[in-house]
Amino acid sequence: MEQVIFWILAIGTVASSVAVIVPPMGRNPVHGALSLVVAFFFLAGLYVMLVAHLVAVLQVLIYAGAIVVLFLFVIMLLNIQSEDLGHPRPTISKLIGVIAVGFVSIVLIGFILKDKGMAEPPVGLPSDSTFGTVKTVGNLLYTSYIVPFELTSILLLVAVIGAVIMAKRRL
Amino acid sequence: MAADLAHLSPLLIVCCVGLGILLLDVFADPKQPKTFIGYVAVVGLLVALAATGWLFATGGVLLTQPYFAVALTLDPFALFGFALILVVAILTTLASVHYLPSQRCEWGEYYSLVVFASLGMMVMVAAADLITMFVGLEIMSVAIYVLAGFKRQSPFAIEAAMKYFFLGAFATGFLLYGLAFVYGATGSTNLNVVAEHFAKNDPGLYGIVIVIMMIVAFGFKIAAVPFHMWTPDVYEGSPSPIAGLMAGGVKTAAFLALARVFLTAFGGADFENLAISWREVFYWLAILTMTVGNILAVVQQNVKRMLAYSSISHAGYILIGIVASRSVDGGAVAGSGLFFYLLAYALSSVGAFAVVSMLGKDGEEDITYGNLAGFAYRHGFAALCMVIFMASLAGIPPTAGFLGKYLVFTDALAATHMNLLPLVLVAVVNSMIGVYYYLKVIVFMYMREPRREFETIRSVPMGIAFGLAALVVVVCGSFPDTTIRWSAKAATGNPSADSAISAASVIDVPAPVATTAK
Repeated sequence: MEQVIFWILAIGTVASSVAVIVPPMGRNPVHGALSLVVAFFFLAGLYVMLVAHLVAVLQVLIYAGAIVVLFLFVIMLLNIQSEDLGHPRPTISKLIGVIAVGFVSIVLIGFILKDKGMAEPPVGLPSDSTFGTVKTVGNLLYTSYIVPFELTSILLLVAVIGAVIMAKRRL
Repeated sequence: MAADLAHLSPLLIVCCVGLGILLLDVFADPKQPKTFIGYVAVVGLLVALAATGWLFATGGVLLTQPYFAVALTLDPFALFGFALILVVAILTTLASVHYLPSQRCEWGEYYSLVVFASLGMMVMVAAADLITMFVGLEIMSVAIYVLAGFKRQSPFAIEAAMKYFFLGAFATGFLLYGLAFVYGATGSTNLNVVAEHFAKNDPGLYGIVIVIMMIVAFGFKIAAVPFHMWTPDVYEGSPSPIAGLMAGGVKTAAFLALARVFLTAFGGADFENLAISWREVFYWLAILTMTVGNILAVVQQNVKRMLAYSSISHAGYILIGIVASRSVDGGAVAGSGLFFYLLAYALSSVGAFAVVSMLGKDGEEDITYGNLAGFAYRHGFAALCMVIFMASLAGIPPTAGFLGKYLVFTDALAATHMNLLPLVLVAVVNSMIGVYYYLKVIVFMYMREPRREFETIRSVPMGIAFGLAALVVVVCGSFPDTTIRWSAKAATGNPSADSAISAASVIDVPAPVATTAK
């Protein structure tokens, strides 16, 4: 059963990710962004299967909810017509990209098939029933990861200042 | 706990200075010049520098609070980095106070972004945990992206900011993938725990993937060839003092973080025996970076672009120091030449960019050699300082740059784990090529008649900035004993790495009821 759900989710993730950039969906930026939402939902399902419930919820809330909505707003504000994008033609950099991606995939798949190098992580995940819950993650954030957590607030502040500096019409 | 806060004071002071001057700007009269905010920032950074000096004199401290200790280490290595970053930030701020009004982009946020960028750099060099290092790197990067595009009205600045932002975000993606693989392989992000794990287990395929990802990510930040493409455009479009901060500060922080991550976490023998050993990769990257950087620097007409390519080639020399270094007892960094070189390089490039800032008045995009013609007759002191910086970057005695090169090369020749003689030979040949374009600057400044009148910024703080940098470069080159002692101290690493490991084991417990903080 778990295997079946995994394969559905995995194939769904890959297929909807491909649809983001590949025609016919990828020709229209709005359709591309919408298939990104689908990909995020499948990915959230994979997180649930990994017992990372909090990450799954955050995935839906932040990525599928907030970020893609922002994408859509930007795309609609820019109002890109398909003629603005020009005709897709093969360029040398695209070729290099395809070769690079193909090479990496073949190497990774080869390793997995050969000695299951990637299939089993050397360190077993904690099988604790509390693993991945909001409470555990919250506890870790305020104990072991308190320094990076606090520093993140500075990071957000810097990002806000930066956004204002770059985008505000008159300072 | 209270002692920990005192020990963290360099970071806390810098953080408070950043927040303070942000508020100061809000309450300041918008019609008045913002120069005083820069001075407040300088004073605050000087206080942080004093705190760093105090900690460095005590020889590094151990944080007692376990949750602080797993995230940050305040060993002499980190404190040396703090001091260097703070000095670079102070010089950058001093060079900026009269530069900004001349470019019509004088907004108070500039200074807080410089301070926050230095905070990010300091966190990077002090990080004992990959997550902390990542957050520090992002604080630094986001602040620098904005500073690169601070002259918003200039299309070159926008180009610089966009290029730097996209490529930086791309590099960050690689770094995060690398971190995810580290966590996947070891179950921890703490450098000591990772090192312990890899000492017992073969890194295997994980090791290769991690090494590749990390090298790409850091390669972008240190601008090593072939990840250097953004550098000349970004340095050219950024405000000149910020180009100095990028060359001096960002590179220092990235190199020290790289040294700590690779030598601590991936320093084990198993990583040497991988199909792709990071030491081998850095060896070839160093050769490529030095050569390509130098050759492209020779053909440049724009001084800022020349300095950008020169900073690329210097990344190659510094990589020699990394290749020559060897982790001792999981953490300590051997090879004090690396530290001395970083000091010499950072101060020389910040100073050089501070002198270039003088030429920044209106139309900075095009500072060619021709603009430097006759510079010495009008600005004798600035030209003299520029000569010192060029000599230091070229590696001519009695400047710090010469000694830095000498120390790095001796470290490399003394290295027993690898035969680095070919690398040193390539570096020596490259240094000679470098002399050509550094001397070209001096020739134009002293031996050419000024082609036309050009306006320069006359600013006392800017003069103080490059004057101080030149003084330090000469003093460190002529009387190097103290600096060499400091570098050696920085190279000894953490006073007791063992206690850091025991503190780090706290992080392995994902149980919700972790020990209560005292």
